[in-house]
Amino acid sequence: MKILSSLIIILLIYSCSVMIASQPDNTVLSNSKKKAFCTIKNEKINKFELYELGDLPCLKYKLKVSSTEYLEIEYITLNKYADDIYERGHQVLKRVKNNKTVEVIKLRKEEDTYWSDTPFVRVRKQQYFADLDDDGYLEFAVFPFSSGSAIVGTVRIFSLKDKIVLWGKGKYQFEGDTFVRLNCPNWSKFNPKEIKNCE
Amino acid sequence: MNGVVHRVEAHCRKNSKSKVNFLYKSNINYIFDKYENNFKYKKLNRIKGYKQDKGQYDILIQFRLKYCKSKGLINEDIDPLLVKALIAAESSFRERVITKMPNSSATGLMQLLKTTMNILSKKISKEVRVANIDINQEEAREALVNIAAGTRWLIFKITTSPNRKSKSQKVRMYSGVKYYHSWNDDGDVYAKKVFQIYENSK
Repeated sequence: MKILSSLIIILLIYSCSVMIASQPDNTVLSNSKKKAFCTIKNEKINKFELYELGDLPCLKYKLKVSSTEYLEIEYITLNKYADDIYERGHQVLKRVKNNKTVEVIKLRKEEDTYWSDTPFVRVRKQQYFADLDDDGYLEFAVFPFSSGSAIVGTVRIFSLKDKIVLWGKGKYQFEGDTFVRLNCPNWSKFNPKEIKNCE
Repeated sequence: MNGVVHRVEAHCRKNSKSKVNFLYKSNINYIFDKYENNFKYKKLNRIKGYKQDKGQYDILIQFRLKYCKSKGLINEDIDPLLVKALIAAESSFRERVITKMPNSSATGLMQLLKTTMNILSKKISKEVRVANIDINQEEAREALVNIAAGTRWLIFKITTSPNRKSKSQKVRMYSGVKYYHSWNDDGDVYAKKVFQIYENSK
């Protein structure tokens, strides 16, 4: 009986955390011919803030998984005066449960270039978390951003299991898109026809 | 005018702790007018397959590369023909062009994004610490301004790519061109294209 009630409680807690993580955020995207806007509701002032083309729209650095758990991306400064850009610092992904950091992942590997920024971006439309492969675990996306003349970048998608594991990659148009595109063909320039083949 | 001269003289100084000086469009024009005759220029090959290349940007490209090298931003010569190949790949030498791609701000000869301009001017990210340039999208449609910002960006990418310490100059240049475009696989596709144009035009 005790085991059964414990199981029910665990199931309840899990489903609650999934519900919280899957909730869409309050965002609106509208496109015009020359500009793309992504607005995020600023809860403090209860207003929508406007992002213009050329900004990096709709980014987050902290994602709430449940009432007791969140993910955070933090820039670790090593030597802010270093001439070599790689020695200045790097970004880490932190998982915090009950105010304790339980996991830290260094995002940039040796072979990677430096990144200007590594925010969370939406893995699906209006969702920072989604179960992409229906395995019961949520996925989320981190966008390692290094500006270039290409407007489409590659995001890294992670799965939120007992440990955070790399799930795969997706595409993200960082000047105007608001969520990750999956199963896209490779392209060097964003091609409106080709994106129809993405999910 | 004194203020302008002060900024010009301080520009491109490689000292991460120095006070940052931004170059605006007027400064870029001023630098070219003032220092153009300080350097020697050669006639560059035309880029094969691009009729729009009539050599109209040859001096501007060579000037910016020589000027920035003289200010210590990079310790080696970049072949100006490589920059021309990059311009061919980006804009086919159409200096007023703004991309028609949806949700993109790529502008001018070297197809600078507003995001890139924002980084060069430190509006987002503080990674470019010296020789910052503050221009807007309309200004980036002018050849002199676009080449100034574009070559600055290319030099930044060459000197900060993961292969920046490679013994092979070709590897260093290839990486710079790759990261000028994109850090992922798309960047390789792009760099191969630019180098193909470059090699064909030598």
